[in-house]
Amino acid sequence: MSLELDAARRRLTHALGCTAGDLEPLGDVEDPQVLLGVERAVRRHLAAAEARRLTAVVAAARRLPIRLVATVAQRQMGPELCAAAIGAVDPDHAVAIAGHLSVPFMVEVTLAADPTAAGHLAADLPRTTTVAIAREVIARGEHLVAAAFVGPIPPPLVAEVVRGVDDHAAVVRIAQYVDDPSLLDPIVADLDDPHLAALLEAVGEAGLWAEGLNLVGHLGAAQQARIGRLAAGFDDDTLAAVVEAARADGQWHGLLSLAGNLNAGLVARVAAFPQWAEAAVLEELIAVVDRAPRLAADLAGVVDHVDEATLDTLVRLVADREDLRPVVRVAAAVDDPARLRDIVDRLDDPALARVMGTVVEDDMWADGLALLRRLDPARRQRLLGLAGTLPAAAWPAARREWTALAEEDRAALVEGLDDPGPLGLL
Amino acid sequence: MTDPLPARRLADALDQPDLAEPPTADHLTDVHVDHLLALVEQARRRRSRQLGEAVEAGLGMVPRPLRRTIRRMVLGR
Repeated sequence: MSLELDAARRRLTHALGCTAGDLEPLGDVEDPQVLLGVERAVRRHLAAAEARRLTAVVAAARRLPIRLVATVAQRQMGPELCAAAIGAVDPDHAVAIAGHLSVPFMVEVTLAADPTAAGHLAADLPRTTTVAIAREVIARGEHLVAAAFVGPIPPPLVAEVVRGVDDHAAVVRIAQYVDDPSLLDPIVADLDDPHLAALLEAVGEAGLWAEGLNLVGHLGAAQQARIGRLAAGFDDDTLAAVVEAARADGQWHGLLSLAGNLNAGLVARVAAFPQWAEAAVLEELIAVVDRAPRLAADLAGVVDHVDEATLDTLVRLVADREDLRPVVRVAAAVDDPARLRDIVDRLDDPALARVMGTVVEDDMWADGLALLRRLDPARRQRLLGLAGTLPAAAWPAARREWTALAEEDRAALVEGLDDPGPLGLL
Repeated sequence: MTDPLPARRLADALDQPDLAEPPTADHLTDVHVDHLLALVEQARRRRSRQLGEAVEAGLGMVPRPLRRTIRRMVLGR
């Protein structure tokens, strides 16, 4: 089961107040987005029903002094009733009441409340109170509730909470449940290198590499680069655990994002693991690039270092694959000309003709010209000869990319060619 | 694609129109929806009972006239 599906099932279980076994009849629903949609709807439905019922209580509380309301709330009403009332109380009144409640009581209210509503209320409380509540929620292992704080609470405040949590593995687990993973990037950005290093260490110790890679996959380039730098000290056992976690849990997006930010020596060590040679793994990697084209360069960086057997498997996949667009993207990003020559030489003319056909027909000339630029004249001639047999209707797109090139790049592309073929017509 | 009607039934029952749209509409069957609605009803009853118990416990500190009003409005008795 993927991490996303597991998280979605846990969230739905939490919303319904049932056990994992109660959700068994929904076992064949394997799209996490469906379960998350149902979870949000269930929460809204239950909260709306209770909020309507509590409107009278809230209206009555408005007529009483704040301190008395807080006393009644804490001593008599208890956390469940207060939690149910959150949706019915206007935020200013709720904050005023909360000012007279103890932190332990507010933690109980938070745990009993709809996490989203509790998160929004926590965001309006004094900074120190919010941090204290959030840290206690995490300390109790209530990861789903803690995750709901991310979003309503601004990233710098979440980072402040994270800095005060000793259980670093819990932080990584909580990240799996965050509704909008794009919010994780500014939080990570707010943590300093020693703290981020401590998180990585905890991930390794707790065997949470799948979760760690999932988190890395949601970060922006700058934070991925920081983690890449911090990973420079990984030993081979750690790297093996990372690669195996990616294979076992399908976390190739995160692994490629990480690999793209490692130094060349470390990428070579990562590329040396046997998992890359598996046809199913390579197929999945190409599919990942298809979904996220920006990862083409990261996969190309690994392809630069894989062994000959892996290269053979990759070439066989290219020959069999119908959609070659992700392959063109990766090939165009392969940095080592010798490696690119290895790949081109392994492909027969029909396969290469399909590669060039993809460049022409899918208007991938930026990638196509980048690929050609890295090849020697003989191989460039071979590819251009194959492209020259393609319909002329597709060539205007090539002209646009061609004229965008610098004069010396254009000259380099035709240099040494007996017949520039289609390039001579541009 | 499966029948979109079960998802619409769930959307109507929970008053959450989004559920009638993809991807929910593409994946839920009548069996799923029947089971979900049963779980939602269980959750609603359990929370309602907890709420009632909490209100009764809290009314002790509230002035008597207000106590009656709250009991009538919240608990319907």
